Amino acid sequence: MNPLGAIFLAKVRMARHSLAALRRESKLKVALVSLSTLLLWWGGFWLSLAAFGWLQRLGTGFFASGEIHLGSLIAARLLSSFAFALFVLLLFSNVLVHFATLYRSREVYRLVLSPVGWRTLFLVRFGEAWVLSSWASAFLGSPFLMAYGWTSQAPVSFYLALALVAIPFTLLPAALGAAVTVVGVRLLSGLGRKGGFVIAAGFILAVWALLRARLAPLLPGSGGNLETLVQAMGQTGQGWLPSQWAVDVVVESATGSLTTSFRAFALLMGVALVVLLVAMELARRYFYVGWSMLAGAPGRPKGSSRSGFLGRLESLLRPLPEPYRSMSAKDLRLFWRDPAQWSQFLIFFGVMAVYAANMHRTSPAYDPQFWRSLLTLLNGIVCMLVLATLTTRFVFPLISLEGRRAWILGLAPITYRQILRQKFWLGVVTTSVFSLGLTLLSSLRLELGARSVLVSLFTVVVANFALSGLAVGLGALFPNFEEDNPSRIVSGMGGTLNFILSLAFVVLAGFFQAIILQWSFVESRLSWQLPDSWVLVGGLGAIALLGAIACWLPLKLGRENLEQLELAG
Amino acid sequence: MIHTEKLQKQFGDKVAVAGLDLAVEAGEFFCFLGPNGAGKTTTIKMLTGLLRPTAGRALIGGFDIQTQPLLAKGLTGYIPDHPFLYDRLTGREFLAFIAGLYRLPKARWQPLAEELLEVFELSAAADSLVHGYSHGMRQKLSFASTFLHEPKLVVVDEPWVGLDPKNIHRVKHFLRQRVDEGLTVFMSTHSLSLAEELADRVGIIHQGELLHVGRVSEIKALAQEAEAHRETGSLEQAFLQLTRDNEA
Repeated sequence: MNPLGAIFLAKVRMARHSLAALRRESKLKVALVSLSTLLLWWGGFWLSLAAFGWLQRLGTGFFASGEIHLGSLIAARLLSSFAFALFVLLLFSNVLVHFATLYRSREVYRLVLSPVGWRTLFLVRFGEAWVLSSWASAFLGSPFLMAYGWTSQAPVSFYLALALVAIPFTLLPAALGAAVTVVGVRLLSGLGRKGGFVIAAGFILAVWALLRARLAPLLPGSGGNLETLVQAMGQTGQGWLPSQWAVDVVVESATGSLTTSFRAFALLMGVALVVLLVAMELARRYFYVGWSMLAGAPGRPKGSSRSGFLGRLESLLRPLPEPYRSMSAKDLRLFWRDPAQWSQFLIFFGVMAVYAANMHRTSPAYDPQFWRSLLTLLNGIVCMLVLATLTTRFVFPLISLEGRRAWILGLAPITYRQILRQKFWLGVVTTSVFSLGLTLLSSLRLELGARSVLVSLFTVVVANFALSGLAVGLGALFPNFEEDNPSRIVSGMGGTLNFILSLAFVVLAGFFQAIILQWSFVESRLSWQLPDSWVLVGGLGAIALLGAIACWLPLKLGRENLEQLELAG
Repeated sequence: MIHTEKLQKQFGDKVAVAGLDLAVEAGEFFCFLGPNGAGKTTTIKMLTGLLRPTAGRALIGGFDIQTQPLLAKGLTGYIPDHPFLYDRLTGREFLAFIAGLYRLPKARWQPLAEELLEVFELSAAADSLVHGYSHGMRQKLSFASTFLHEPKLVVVDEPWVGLDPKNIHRVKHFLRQRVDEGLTVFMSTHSLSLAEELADRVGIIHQGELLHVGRVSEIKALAQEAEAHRETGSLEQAFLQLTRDNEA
């Protein structure tokens, strides 16, 4: 058997053992996660079905180019925008996952020691990174695309095309991401910290400038109408974009044009395979050099740990009592020194900044009270969704990241309650900075009234506590001390459940927020008469109660689970 | 300092430690010997509270490690055979973190940390990330962090892995000196010559059962009795003889 086959077989066996371990898990846990996953998928499908159904009923509109069926046009543009956004996300995700899988994983040490070529080693790790970074996109994208097929009354071949196009559509960003990672590590590790930072900043600025130059002229301005909006959405449907090739496969197969669909598929697959070959060649040339430079990189030079932000952490955290101060300082240092962690965090931050910065362009278009309060509600939900993503990605793995060092905490004269309390407050404080900032900034940009701003802020504060409690509690309920890679920790059963429950919280909190903000509309439909102040107090009380349950219960269950565990390291 | 009563640990059907009754006095250097898989590490992890016993109990300084864990852990230090530390902390930051966990005032731990870094020759590397440390350096950092809160009992699991002869000598001397000052050491080791050199008393565990406890000379005498016709000059020969007899 060749080395690739042997490694593949070992991976299959490991997967089989993981499945066997799943069978030994509590049946209730597995059933809960499976049911929640199905519900999430079904919810996405139902929502997309309703949206595409609504678009179908829109009728026609008059554009400069003539009369066009609006629904079909917007649906196609939506698909293009969705595919483009997913492609960009996959590309970013692959760069980060490949860095962790190719350069930071313990398994790579064993592979480097074994007599396998660099291409084989790369292929083995690439396969794992590809699956890790793509499964969630396939899971989240499938209800949307299937709903499109359903409303378009697409033939069976559409669903087959959908399954097939997922391969090159995820393979291409994976190969591109791998190539960028291999070249990036080779270049940046040779340049040192400052040089690397300058190159990375330059690259980000160049991408920003390019996007701005291409997209800015077509972004809807303050006097924007439907035509400019549709035109702007069309930017993501340009023929040279690989995401559009995937859309062509889907749209053409939905109309039964199989030849055109196959042509687009062949183009996408061909390009994906060529890029994979290029990535393999780059790995053959540069992987080992970059890996050995990283592995042999000296520790931080003497003295530097006492300067800068990290050096001043102890004094910044001085108001905290021990052992919380030391544990928080440790967690913040480990986070900031892990490139895979802070780079993902910066991406989140960038996405949030873009969201907030674009707010002013839309505000004047929404003048009537109904639309303004609807916009407040949607903005609140977006802020909570950002928060849910933040807590799932960064707070949930905190307990698992203690990993094989868990014996240090297990040995110390501290209680599990104290450990959870520290992780919880760290989560609340750090995510608050971003979620409250985003809520406040976007509310100001939208020029919302004081009542709306207060309702939004209150909901986000409650969500901060609830989602941090949920993430820490579930992190303790489903710890994975064997894994050092936070992306893999999050993609496990516990991480999935955490995300699903976080979404459920956002939906419920959004529901109560909707009742407060849209009371006049609800009142007219139900013919109830309640004073505004009652609705406000009742709604905020319901949000607070929901938050308290979402925070307290998982923390309690998580602590009880940790007390049953043996942190033997 | 250590008192166990019918301490037992089972993993499924396998009995790793079977009803261990043991007493180690304060100021004693106790070596725990046994072949691989005998139950040494499991015993150590139960003594430090990292594993819960299936039955029985362990008292540290009079405190039950299960029902009064904070008091017992406050008295204990533990040095594992493979110290997994935080790679992205520097040596000095790691010591500060440990001091925080034990709520030590800065005025107390900082001079002691410098002294321990000096003793274990880590001062030059103290501001480098642990990521770049060799196995021996990690082991020495683990030693330094263990003594930071001035424990009354130090439990050591095969401490010589990764240490060069010079550092083995340094650690031996350091431990012996601390025992002479009143510290209790409970050490598991495969190095019979070191046990013979350092231990006040030795316990031999085999297949989860404590076979014999006594001074080195007593253990040797027992082995001689077991096989009177054979010369059993060293602890190693006594150990092999006793564990073989038990298997038979």
